[in-house]
Amino acid sequence: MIEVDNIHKSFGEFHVLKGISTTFEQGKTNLIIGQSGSGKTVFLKCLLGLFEPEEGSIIYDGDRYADLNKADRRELRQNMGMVFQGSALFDSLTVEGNVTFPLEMFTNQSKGEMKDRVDAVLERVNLIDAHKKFPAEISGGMQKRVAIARAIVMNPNFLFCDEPNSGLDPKTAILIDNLIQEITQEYNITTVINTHDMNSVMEIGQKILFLKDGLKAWEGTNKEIFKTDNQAVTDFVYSSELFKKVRQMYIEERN
Amino acid sequence: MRVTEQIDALEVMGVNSINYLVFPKIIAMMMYPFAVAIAMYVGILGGWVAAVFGEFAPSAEFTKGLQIDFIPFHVTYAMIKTLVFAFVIATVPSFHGYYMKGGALEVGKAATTSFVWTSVVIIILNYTLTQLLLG
Repeated sequence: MIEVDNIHKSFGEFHVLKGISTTFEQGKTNLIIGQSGSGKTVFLKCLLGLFEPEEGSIIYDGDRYADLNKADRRELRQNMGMVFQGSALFDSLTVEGNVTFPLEMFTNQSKGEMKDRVDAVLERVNLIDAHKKFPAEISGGMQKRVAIARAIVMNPNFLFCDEPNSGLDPKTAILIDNLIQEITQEYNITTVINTHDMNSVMEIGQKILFLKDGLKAWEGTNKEIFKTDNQAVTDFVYSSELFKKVRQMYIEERN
Repeated sequence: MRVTEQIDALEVMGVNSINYLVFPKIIAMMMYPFAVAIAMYVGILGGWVAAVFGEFAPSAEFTKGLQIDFIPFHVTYAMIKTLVFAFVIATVPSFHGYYMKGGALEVGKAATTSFVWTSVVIIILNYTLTQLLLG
């Protein structure tokens, strides 16, 4: 579980995060949504420890980040997996090399043990025949799956995803969403996903945090988002005609 | 690596990215004196082959000629300059690459800037070292 208490982050005079408090629960897919420039990426980077907030605190399974020393912070980061928007795979390494990388860096496992673990996670993300391929030789969807495999290979307690299905076709995007949700429940991870994709919001948003102008404007579940009267949320989520109709149908069905 | 978030990926994993990416380059460049020693040897060997097999000078005369103006400190001087230049070549481009911001266009600009700064620093250090060691 991640508890965020009143965090503020500025860049010069530009106040990006203006006091956000929330809780991301374990075993659930927690989504952060909001318009471009609302502070989602800065918030995610604060959760990752890449940015340090000026005020407020972030507590990971009871450990307050600000109170941890350098070694403990490094250890905490080894307990985090991250799926970047552009996958961020090491292009000089094969798929197998990318997934093995964290094991080589942080464990004393034998080559055989590492291979078994890598085979298991690649099989889990449905990539069986791509071990020897380089990132440039595989599709965007496959790259995302390799990034997920690399993120979970160390059995992390926290999984962060920055727009995991951007640039993917709708079918592959749903596969990636479902994969993340399945992995979250299977490994009981605290998953935080930064997304613009309203399909993800409706499909896997077990908890949704809506940011606007660096503030928490709304939070709830994908069921509650249909019922909310919060103008900022409805303007954002139901900006397309399709989602307006979906909402209308949901409301009519309930009545 | 900066543009494609690979450096962020290293940091998130808990890897000290500067240590991981730059330190091996510095260590590798510190091996440069060995390459320069081999180059010196091959250069002299090439001169000997040309002189002897081109029938410009016999082997004994070539060897004697080499030794006339030989100052042992010049080898030390060459090795000192090699080490300093190697350090500059390893670190200046790494600095520009590591701290660059932006996209593909900025990568090109960072590459050009690092090339210019590396050249400038080497020219200045070359002059300074020559004055300090041989002046």
